Amino acid sequence: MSRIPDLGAVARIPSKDGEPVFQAPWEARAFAMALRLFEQRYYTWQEFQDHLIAEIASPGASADPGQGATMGYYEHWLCALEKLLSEKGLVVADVLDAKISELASAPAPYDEDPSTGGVPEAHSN
Amino acid sequence: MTLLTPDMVPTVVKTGASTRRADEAVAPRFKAGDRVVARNMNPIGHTRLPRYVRGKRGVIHQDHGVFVFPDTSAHGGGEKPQHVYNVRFETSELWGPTADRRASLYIDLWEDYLEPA
Amino acid sequence: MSAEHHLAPETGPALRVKAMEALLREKGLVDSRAIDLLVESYETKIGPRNGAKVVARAWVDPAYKARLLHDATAAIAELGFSGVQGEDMVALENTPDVHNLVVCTLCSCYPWPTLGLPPVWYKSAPYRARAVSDPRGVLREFGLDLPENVEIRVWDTSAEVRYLVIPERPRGTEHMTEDELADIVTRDAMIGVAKV
Repeated sequence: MSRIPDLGAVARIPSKDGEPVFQAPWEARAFAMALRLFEQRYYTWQEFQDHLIAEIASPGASADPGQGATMGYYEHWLCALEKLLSEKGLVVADVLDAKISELASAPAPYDEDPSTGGVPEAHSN
Repeated sequence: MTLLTPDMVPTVVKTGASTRRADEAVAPRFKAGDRVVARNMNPIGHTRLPRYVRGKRGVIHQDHGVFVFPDTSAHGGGEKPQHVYNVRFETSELWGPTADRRASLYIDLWEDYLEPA
Repeated sequence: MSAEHHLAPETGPALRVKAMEALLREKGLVDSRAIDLLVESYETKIGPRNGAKVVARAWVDPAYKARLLHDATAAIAELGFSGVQGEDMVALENTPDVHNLVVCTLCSCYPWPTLGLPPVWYKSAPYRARAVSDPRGVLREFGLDLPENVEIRVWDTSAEVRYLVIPERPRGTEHMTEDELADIVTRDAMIGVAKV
């Protein structure tokens, strides 16, 4: 079994014990959305965990125990959340896919700040 | 369903949502020191019985009390509150005779996962 | 026009997350500002400094330590730490004869209110597999070579209880204040892969 991935991840956001809490902003959003929806009782934490456990245990999930697993945890988290929300009828898969296509084809410049809803700010050239 | 506003966030994050059911009068099937065996089950649905302990024999270390059982509650089978036990397994039982004898495994298991040994 | 706005479109998970948040916001299910606050909480406020205070208190106050070992949830709440993923806590005391190590083989459960969010290695497949099958080897990889006579207890966080290791107080710290002691308690020591 391979070595445990090195503790020294790239220190982008300084934290008490030397490594960032999240490796990318999307991880933070995915984490907080799952928690927020739980806090509002759209599902129980056990239900979310069920899906997370299933994603982590799925074949191929640990194919690359080094870098892959390091980057894979929040991918699993996101998949779990997508499946749970679809199961609950809150965000069904085809609607999500349509939104993804819509955002993918949105032209730059594009305001990346998620809290503004992705609405491009007015620019004066 | 209350839509939480930002000012309420710190409070709710602090409160959490325990699945403990302290008011449920559910009689425990086991007590500390009892010899048990983890069921050898491969359920279709969700479970929290890791593969490496299935079919293995251990000893009840502690009764944590009564909690909601996730395996049924997730599938509309009701909360089925039951005792959750911490069970001690010897590494030799889990990994064979060459395992480190000065190590042991303690794992939390729902009562439905256990049978008397 | 500032350069920051000419960012390449996101792909993969970043795009999926953005789409999900947009849909949830459109449906009135989430408030993005609340998401911002949660992120900020877990990036800057909720972290192992909390657990370190619990340990330091246990080191200086034997009555507190007794309460902590008897009912960790209540004792930890005395210091103001409670909430999601800390609703049912158990404290595990390291001694010269017993060393405790915590893992969650199923999905990386972790006591958020006392330790914040788990480090990358805790969530990795090798740690989750080897902590239960070769704990002494795992500790060696973290630079902790325990004498053979020390019993290692590995705790698999497979249900609702969350575990916090109370490391041994190092020698030569008798003169330190509680705050100074909290400063030397590391997250890794409270998971059990290190000593203080």
